[in-house]
Amino acid sequence: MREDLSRFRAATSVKKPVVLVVDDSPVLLRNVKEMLGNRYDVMLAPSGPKALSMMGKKCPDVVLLDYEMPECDGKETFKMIRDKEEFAHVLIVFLTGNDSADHIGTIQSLDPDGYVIKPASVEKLTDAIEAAIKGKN
Amino acid sequence: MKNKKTNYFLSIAVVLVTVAAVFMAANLITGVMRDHTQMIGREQLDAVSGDLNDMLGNAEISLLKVAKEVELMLSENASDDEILTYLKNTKKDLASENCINVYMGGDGWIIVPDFEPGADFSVTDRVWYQGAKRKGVGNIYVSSAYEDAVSFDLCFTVSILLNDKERVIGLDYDLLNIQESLSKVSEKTGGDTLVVEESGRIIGYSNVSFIGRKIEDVLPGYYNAFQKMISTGDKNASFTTEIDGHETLILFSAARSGWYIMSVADDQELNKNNYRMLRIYLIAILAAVAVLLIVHAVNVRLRGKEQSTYKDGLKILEEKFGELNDSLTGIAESVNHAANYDDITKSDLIDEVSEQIYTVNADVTAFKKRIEGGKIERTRTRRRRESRISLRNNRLTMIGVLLTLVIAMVLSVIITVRGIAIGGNNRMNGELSGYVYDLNEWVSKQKSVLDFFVRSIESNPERLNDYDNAVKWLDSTVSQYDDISVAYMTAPDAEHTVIMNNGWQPEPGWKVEERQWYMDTLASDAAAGFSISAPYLDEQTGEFCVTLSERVYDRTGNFLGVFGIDFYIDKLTHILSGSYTSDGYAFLADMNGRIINHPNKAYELSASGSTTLDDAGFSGVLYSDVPIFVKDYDKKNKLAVSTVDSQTGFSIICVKTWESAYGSSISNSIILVLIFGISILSVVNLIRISMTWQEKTNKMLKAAADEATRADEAKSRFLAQMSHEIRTPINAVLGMDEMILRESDEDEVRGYAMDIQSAGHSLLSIINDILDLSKIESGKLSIVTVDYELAGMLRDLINLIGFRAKDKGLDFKVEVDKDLPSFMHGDDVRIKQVITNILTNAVKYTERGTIWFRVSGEKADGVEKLKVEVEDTGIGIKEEDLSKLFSEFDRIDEEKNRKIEGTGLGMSITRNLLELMGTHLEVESVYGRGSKFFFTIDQKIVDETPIGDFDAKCVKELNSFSYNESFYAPRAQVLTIDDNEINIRVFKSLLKKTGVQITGATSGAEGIRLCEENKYDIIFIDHMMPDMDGIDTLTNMRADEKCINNETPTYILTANVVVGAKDMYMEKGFTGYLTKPINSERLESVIREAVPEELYETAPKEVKAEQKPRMIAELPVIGGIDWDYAINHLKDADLIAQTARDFIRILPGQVEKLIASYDKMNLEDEFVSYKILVHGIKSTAATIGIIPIAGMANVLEYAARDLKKEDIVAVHPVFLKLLEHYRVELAACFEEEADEENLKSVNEEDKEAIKEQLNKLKEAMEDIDVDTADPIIDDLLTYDFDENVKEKIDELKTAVVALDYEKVGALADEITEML
Repeated sequence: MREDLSRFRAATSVKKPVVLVVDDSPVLLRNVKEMLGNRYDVMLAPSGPKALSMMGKKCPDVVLLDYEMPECDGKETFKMIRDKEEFAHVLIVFLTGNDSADHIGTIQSLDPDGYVIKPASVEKLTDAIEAAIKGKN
Repeated sequence: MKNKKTNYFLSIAVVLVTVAAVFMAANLITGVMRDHTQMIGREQLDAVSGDLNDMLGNAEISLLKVAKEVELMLSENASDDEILTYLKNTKKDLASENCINVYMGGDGWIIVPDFEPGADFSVTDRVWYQGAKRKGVGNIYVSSAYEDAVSFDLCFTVSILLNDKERVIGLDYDLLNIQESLSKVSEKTGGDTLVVEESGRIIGYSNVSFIGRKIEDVLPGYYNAFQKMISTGDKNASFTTEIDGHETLILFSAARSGWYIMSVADDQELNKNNYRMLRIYLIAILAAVAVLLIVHAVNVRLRGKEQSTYKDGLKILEEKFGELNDSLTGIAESVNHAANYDDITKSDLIDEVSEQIYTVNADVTAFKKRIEGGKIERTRTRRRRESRISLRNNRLTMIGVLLTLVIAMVLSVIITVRGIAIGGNNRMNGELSGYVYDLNEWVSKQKSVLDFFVRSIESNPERLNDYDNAVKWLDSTVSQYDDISVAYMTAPDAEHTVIMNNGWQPEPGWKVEERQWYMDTLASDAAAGFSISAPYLDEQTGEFCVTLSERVYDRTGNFLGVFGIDFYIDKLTHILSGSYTSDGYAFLADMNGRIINHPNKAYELSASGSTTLDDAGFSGVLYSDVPIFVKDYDKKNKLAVSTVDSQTGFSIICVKTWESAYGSSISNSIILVLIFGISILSVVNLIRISMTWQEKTNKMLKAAADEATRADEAKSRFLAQMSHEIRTPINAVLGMDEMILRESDEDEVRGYAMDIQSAGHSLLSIINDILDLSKIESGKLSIVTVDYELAGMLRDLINLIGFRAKDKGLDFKVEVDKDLPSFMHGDDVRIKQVITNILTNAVKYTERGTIWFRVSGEKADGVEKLKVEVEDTGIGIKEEDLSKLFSEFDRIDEEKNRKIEGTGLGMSITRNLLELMGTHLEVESVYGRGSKFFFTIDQKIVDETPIGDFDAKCVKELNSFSYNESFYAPRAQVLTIDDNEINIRVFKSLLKKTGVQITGATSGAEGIRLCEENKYDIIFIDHMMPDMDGIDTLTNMRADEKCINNETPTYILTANVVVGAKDMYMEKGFTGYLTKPINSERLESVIREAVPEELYETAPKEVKAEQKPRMIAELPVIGGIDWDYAINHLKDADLIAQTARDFIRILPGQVEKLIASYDKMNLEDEFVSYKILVHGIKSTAATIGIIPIAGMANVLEYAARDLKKEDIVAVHPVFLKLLEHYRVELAACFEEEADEENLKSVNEEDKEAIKEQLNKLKEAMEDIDVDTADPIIDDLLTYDFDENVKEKIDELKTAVVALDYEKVGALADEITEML
């Protein structure tokens, strides 16, 4: 089924947007990959630095960035990406498990291309990614 | 309580004392007024008797003079003509004295001027002649009054028999000057004064027409007193009798003539104004006291009444909660029955339902407690308010009493002091005028002697020519008078300048014209040239004398000289000597201010000198009209008042001790003031007690009051939210129940579910009833009129009641007039409620038979007179119970209807609602046969189109709950915002078959965010949400510029159908509202309206029915795991299963890290990493619906954030256990079982390939390329390696799952090595 689908996509030569998911929870990373895999080319990174090193090899269109991560958290990672000129075009959508108004305010102050409250359904994720892409265009 | 009693008695005591004091004051004042009356009476009497006696005295003196003269003339053999001439002259002279005739008569003859006696005139028959004869020589006869033959004036005659015992001289006097005097006195005092003869004939009265008439005829009121006086013989009697209902003082005094002077003083007439004031004063005070008593009584009554009302209220409340509990028990039982039914899917739901029911139960219990608590608190508050009121009233009463007392006291004191002053002054002035009268009396008496000498000389100046004879004449006359020291005639030009009765001759050089008395007499203004000298020391006798002297003229008016009489002063002072008492005294002072007599002998005039008033300290007395205080010789303060006698020029000073002057008044006033003082002190004390009591009570009530206020506020809020708090869970129950009804095909389950449904609805209706009634009672319920469709309303009613009726085996007959307009304007909600109540009642109270529901109407002026009638064949109502029908909580025939449920509020609400809509409910009933309830209500017609044959339209299946979805629109987007996730689930379930895409948001904020991101076809927002409620959410959403749903129809979901809700919500921007529990038909209809037609699709029946439950069913049931929740995110059971597998695989690693972090918890950084770790676990757990883990992780996350180590310490171990529990549970269900038997054996070739694979895996993991890595590791797991390699491979798998690329690299290298 999956093969059929990819074949179908290849045939219609639609290039899937590349989405890099950054989250310290491997379960979630895999989960998201499962959820978004059909629609996007999903890359996974279990930490911020890893994400950056991976981005050096293959630059994604959208980064789904978990805010709450040990050591190098979402905010730092966000800044690190934004600091690099070559990633200027990369869209960043935050993932966060905290829906308090303060926290959302903090996230918004960073001016990302969107955010999604965890746990996020595939619709929510897709909507957020699409909205970001749409906003960009 | 004790205080209250004390207060009560003290209050009564104060009232009594006040009344007593007021009456004492009144009494005192009355006494003062009586004194005043007495004074006036006495004054009248003195004035008139003085005048009368003066007149009589004058008449007597004149008579004596005439008699002497006539005797003299007779001795000189004067002719009758000469005598007539003399009489004529005398008559002329005496005219000024009211003498109207002078005459002389004897047996058979009369000499009288201006009168021709008739032939029958006989002198000896005349009363005056007989009287004089009877009296004898030298004695004066005074006749009774008679009417003068010429003038018809009332007259009297004085007559005297001359020495020859034959001739009688008579002088006629009229009584005009007495009349004048009476009028003057009456005018001045306002009292009545009469002169009455002994026979009772009035001879003088201010009312002239009464003169000459008998007292018993014209003044019968006075007659009694007069008669009493006559019969007792007390000529100076005084009586107090009642005349015309007035207490009247009558005083008598006898005049010389034997006439009586009667002074009448009508106390009430004289003190008219004072009595009026007194009456007003009394009435005002008594009224004040009465008002205070009434206020008190009313207070006490009201309090009693309110208390009984509270008892009733509490009783009602208890009943109500009994009913609520019954309903709940009903639901709970049904649930238990249902739960026994072994069906996993359903039991899941039933569990939910039962959980919800416990919530409802808890809510109801809490509600009950709060209400009862509130009630008690309220009662307390009321009581406190009451006690406040009663305290305030008490205080007001006290202050009222106090004010009344103070006013009463001030008034009393003013009146009393005035009374004292008047009384005391009157007493002193009265005494003084008595002395003045005595003095005048004496002076008049002496003057008449002087006059006698003067007249004698005037008529015959020649008699002085012979000195010796003259001396003899003087001496013989003087010897008749004791008071006279010497009498003398002085004439400066005569041969003998002084002719004195004792023959004294002045020494040479003594000149009479140099004597003070002589000069004073010459200068005197008095008509007769009369003067009285200051006392002087007589050189001859060595005693003090006063001289009375008068100028003497001859008949032709030539000045002859001055005649003087010296009187010993002791004769004068004797008048006042009787006044010397311990209470005071009176004394005389001459015109030079020298004290003549005094109890203190040192002050008296003596040879050694004199003391003036100034010296004695009485200087101010002469110039004061009112008594003044003086310091007397005995060093005592006394009151003194004085008057100057105009005739003598002497001052009379009356001195009194203040005790005797004001004594009784003062003592009375003091008692009065004391009584008032005590009253005031008691009241002040009472106020103080009351205030202390209040303070204490306040303190006691303070806590309770604050509590009550808080409770009251809380209760208000609570009541406002009640519908939410209780209805929301019921909403959930009913929603779940409907799901059971929809999904279950088992009859038994459906039966129970329907029981739940009906019990739930009745629970809702009870709550609605309570709310409605409280709204009606508080006047908050208003009628909201809208255009409505009659058919729709009737259909709803018929469906609702028809089902119930059928259920009970009753025949339900509907008769609807087909001419009724289809659209009308009115409050359809309330009308429907009213009809529902009536119909429900009919069903309730009817055991068998039929219920008729008739709707008809009449049209008039665009208004439909809608008549609604409900008739049943029920138990009926006894006539005596009809009145009870509408009272709150009263259920008729309690005994018989015990098993009938209900609040008893329905009919009361119905009646109130109808009244609000301007109509009323009518009842006809026969006990045992049935009842008919009907009402008529005016509704404006909106659309006259007839409603048509309604029976045909009414074809809805009554007992079928089978649900047919009305549309299918899987692409329609619906957003529902509700803080209660279960409600969201219910909401989703209700719309499940329509296939619409429903997004749930659990907060306003989230809803707003979603609205920025997604376009919805319709939005539903719950009203009651924490933080941001439904209305705020919409307002914020509309204000949000990023929102792309500003045009989207938005409905509010509310359990709280408040008054005017619809308008209010519309105003806030809502398209409309839906009540909770949500009616799925209504929900669908609003969605259908909102969703564009192009989104409708044909429903693929099987799929929609099977889809999700199947997915859920595929997943194992694990306590606490909410697959539904997971499905919401992951949409796919496989994905959930895979995620769960991943979760359990990496969990041990996570736990390890967590424990490590926990062990290092002392460092602050560690809190952060701990937080991140639990956060990660939380997210994962939440994703797959392990709610307990997510919940506890959340607690830990917050604890870590807030650095609350103790919380972490407490929860951490439990959390670890919980994690392990779920890991085991999940592992049991999801762990992939290694297919031990089908493992591929490993040969060398494979090993190379495997090494290659491992390398590939390592590289893939570098890029976290799970698409490549996962198949490799899964493939590796199919090989049958050595145990130690197998272990490593397993570790490798975990690392891959955990995306731990470094570990993957290390392990891959290790395994390669091992191979």
